[in-house]
Amino acid sequence: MRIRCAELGVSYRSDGRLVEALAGVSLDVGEGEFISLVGPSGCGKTSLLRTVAGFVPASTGAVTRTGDTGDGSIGLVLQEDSLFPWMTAFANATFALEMRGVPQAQREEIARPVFARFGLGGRERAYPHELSAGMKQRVAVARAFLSKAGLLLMDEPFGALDAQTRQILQQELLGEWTASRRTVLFVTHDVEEAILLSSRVMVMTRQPGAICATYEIPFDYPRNYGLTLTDKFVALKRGIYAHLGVQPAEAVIAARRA
Amino acid sequence: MKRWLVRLWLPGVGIAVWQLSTSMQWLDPLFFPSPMRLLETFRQLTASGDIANHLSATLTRLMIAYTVGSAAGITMGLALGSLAFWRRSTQVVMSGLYSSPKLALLPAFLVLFGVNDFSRTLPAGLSCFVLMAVYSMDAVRAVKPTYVDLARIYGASRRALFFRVYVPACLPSLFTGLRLGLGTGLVMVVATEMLGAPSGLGAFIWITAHTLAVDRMYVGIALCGIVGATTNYLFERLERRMAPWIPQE
Repeated sequence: MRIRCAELGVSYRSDGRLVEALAGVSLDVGEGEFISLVGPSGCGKTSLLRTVAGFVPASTGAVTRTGDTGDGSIGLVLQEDSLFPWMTAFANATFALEMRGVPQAQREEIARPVFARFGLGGRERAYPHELSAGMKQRVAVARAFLSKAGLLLMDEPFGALDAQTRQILQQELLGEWTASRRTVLFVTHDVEEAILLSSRVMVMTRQPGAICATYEIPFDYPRNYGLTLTDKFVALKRGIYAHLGVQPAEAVIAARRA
Repeated sequence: MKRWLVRLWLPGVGIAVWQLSTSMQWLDPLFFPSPMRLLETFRQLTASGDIANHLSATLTRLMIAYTVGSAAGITMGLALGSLAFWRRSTQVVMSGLYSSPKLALLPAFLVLFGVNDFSRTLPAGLSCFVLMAVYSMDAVRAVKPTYVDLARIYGASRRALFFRVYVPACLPSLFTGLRLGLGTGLVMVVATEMLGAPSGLGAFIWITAHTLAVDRMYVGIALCGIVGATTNYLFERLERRMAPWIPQE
């Protein structure tokens, strides 16, 4: 799916005050691209994601979705509470298929190889509360890929995991994405994660949220974790950190003077 | 330790202490008959079929009041939970009903609908209704918006949203409400029976107390307790079957 955001602005009322979450965000995501949004907390990454998802209406500008929209649905993975506690891992992962009326036997057939790839084999009947945090996120990611959605939105899906589990899930996500090349919009505050996974990284500033820089990530897929140790990777990381580090501090100082 | 043992050892010790205090004459057996004595009284009452009639009268009233009241309450609560206008419009009446003693309405019902079982079952039914309406209304409103967003974005229809998200998300609260409703319903049924009903455990307790048949009175009270504990236990089993995702203690 292709997404085009043109001069997107989002504001909402909070305590009778108008808060501008996003202003003038223009963004073009091509078919099969993996785009990451990085930025300090409160910079509107999640607002942008929710607007693209259609949960939040844009106050100015518009989001247009064109191209291969799959079945019209959108895949969504959140940091936590992505799974319905009352459904088994299998029912959660195949929820989108169930909603499209795919019969149980067929869903089982479709889900089996995906469960195996994510190391979830044998846990189909487990409820979320019986799964570890990493397992839960695997089910949530599997659900996104099992849906026929043309666009996958991920809001810090690995943000609550320990470093090692996060690495493993990043690898699994890379493998799954490389095989299917769905359009992905990925929110994270982990710069390394953004570079490792994405074809493009967009850096956001806050108050109001806007995109201040775009980095093309030149590495070919399939990628693996070894990439993070290369000079080129480290140089990219340094560049983005510089952007992130300077920007918010300046904003804070400016705000204090004002 | 076995689960049932943990549940029952303390009541067991209580009964043993009670038996001991009566055999040692620490308690006046006129007002505190021994558990053995109560068991014997219970046996006699069962043999005569007397207590069975009272028990079944109470259980019948409870079941009717509870099922009709709770079903109506859940329907109303789920509807009000999702319709903000009607929720606000009925808020004053509902909160007033929730905190008012429904037993106080019994005389009115007796006048309005006549001195019959219908009027006597109404306060208990009303209690269950209001309790479940409030519980299910709050349950709907407490459903995490995240779950609704997720279901929608993955293509859930309105119907699927209701049955696959709202209903199961509300089930834990509904079960809590249903369990409380069972207790409240029993209390209300027994209380109304004390106010001039011809049958039922409440009537039995009231009459035996007035005729100073203290051992019979205690049998009646104990039966109320046993009914409460048993229904509660059956409910837990049902909950575990119907909502296996709720982590058990």
